[in-house]
Amino acid sequence: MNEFDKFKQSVLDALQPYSPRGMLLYFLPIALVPATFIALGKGHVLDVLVNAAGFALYMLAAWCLRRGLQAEYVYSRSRIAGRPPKPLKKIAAAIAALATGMIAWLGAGHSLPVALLFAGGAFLGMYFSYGFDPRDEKKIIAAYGYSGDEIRQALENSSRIIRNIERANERIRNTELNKRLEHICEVADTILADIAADPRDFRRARKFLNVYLDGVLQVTQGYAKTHQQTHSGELEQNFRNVLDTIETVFQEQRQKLLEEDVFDLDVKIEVLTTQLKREGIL
Amino acid sequence: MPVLLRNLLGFIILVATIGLATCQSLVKAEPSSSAYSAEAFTINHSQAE
Repeated sequence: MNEFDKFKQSVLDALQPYSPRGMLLYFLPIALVPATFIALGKGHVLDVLVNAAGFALYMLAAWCLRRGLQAEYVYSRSRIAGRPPKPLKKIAAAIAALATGMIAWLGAGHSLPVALLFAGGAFLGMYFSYGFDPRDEKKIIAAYGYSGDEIRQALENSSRIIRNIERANERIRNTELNKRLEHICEVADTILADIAADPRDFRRARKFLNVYLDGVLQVTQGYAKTHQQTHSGELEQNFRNVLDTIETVFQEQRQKLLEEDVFDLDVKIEVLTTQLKREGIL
Repeated sequence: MPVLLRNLLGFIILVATIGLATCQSLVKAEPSSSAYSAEAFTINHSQAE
C-alpha cells in the first residue's frame, strides 16, 4: 500500500462513523411526526399510538441499520474479525417492514393484504439498498498444532488489547507520547495482519501476543492513570524510555517474523521484559 | 444485477413504500385544505342547485 492509499484509507476510517449510509431511514418517516400531533389534537388515540409507535420502530430500525453497517465495515477491513455477532441489518429490515405494514394498515387504512405488500416492499427495498449481514467466517488455516479457531481467538484477543492501548492513549495529554503510542499500535496491527495472512508465524509470535502486548497495555494504562495525579518528570522520562524499547522491539518483531529468525527474537523479548521489570512496570 | 442498479432500485422501493405509507397516514390524520375546500364546494354547489 503506497502513501496515498494509506492516507485515503485513514481518511475513510476517520469518516466512517459519520457515513451518510443508513441515514435515509431517519428521514423517510418524518411525516409521522405531524401525523401524530394532528391525531393528538383531534383526540384520535389509536392514530396517535400507531403513528408514534411506527416512528419509534423506524428510529430503532435506523439505529440497527447503522450499527450493522459499521460492523460490516469492520468485518470487511479486518482479516481476523469474525462475522458480526448479530444480524443487525436483517433485524433492521424486519423492523422497517413491520413498521411499514402497521402504518399502511392501521395508519393509512389499507386492507391487510395491501399492508402486507407494503411491508414486503419495505423489506425488499432494505435488502436491495443495504444487503444483509456477512455470515461467512473468514478462514484462518490451522498451523503447527493450532486450529484456525485457536489462532483467530488469540488474534482477536490481541486486537482487543491494542484497542485498549488506544483508549488508554486517549487519556494521555502529551502529543509526542500520543504519536509514539499510535505508531506502536499501528505496528502491532501490522504484525497481527501478518500472522493472519500466514499463520505459520503464530508459533513464533506467541510470546509477543501473550506477554508483550499485555505488558504494553499495563504500562500505558498505568501511566495514563498516574500522570494525571502527579506531574513527575522522572515518570515521564521512564515512560519515554520504555516506549523507546517497545518501538524498537515491535519493529524487530516484525522484521524477525519476516526473516523467520526465532532465537534472536526471544532474546530481545527477554531483554524488554527485564527492562519492564526494572522500570517497575511488570 | 449491478450493485449501483440494485441500490437505486432499493432506494426507489424504500421511498415509495415507506414514503407513501407515512404520507397517507398523515393525509388520513388531516385531510388537506384543498381536498377539504373541494368537498365543501361540491356540497355548497349541489345545495345551490
